[in-house]
Amino acid sequence: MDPSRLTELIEASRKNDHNAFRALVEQFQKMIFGLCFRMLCNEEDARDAVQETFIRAWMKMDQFDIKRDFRTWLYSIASHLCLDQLKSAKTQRTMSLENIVPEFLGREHPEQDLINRDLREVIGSLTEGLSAKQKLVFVLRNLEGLEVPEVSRVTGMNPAIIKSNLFLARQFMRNKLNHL
Amino acid sequence: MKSDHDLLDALTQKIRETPPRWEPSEAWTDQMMERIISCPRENHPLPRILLWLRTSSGIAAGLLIGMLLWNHALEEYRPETTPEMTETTTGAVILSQETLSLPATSHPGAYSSEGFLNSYLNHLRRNTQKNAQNRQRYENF
Repeated sequence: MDPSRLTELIEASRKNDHNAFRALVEQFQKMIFGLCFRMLCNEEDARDAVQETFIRAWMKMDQFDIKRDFRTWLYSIASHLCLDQLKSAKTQRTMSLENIVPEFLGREHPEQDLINRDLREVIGSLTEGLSAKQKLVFVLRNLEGLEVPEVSRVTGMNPAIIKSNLFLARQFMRNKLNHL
Repeated sequence: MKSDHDLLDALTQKIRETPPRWEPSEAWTDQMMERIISCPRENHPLPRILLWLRTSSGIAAGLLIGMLLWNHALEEYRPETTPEMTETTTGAVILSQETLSLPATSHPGAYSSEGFLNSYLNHLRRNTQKNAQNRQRYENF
């Protein structure tokens, strides 16, 4: 989206313009869904998190500093929601990486309905056992492709802590893959 | 199978290139917007003030307000009594230990700032010495 148009929409949303906020929702909801899905590994939970993210964004629109990146701000809200959810939900997975990984890597053009199932299983199994923070840092840096300073702005964590969490997360996952 | 290093990189690369599928319907967005609109906005003035204080003019104004408050505090708690002076045989004037202690105040924390207390006592000492010198000069004249 054109930056001046984005600023225009943000300013209008702050003045209670519902249509402007709807345009922002339509622009960013898929991006937020991507993060939430990769974090929660569940479509329904991810959709709920998207809704909650935009409700919080709407309520706190007055506090948004226009000089900040809107995308980073939304990521930050969504990340904290996902962290809270991961900390409260203690789900046990019993999927085996052994069968999932070769199948996932081997698919050239996966069918649409298989994409989410594959992703859910692969990300879920790969990141199972990581702490919520390690998972968040891994998803933001390695799967969403954010640079470390941006991850720091999103999570509020120190870059050194991000790097150490990332290192530990990758080491843990490599050990897991090593047993395949 | 590839080495574990390559495998992790290959997996993350593949996941990155495969965004999860979701096509939100118009009805879904409508429903979400309804929920959003029904939520009250947080219109407390405090966050706005905090945002403003982060700007350079806010910082300057904050410092100015701080200085004014500090000056006001100094004026309010400055003791009105003058210390007693004792002239020594050499003509030097010293402040008795008793008068160096500041008067009691109804505010227990009024003299909690050690820096303020020391600077005030130094100021008294300097003034007393200067007065004594002036008196001596006057007497000699």
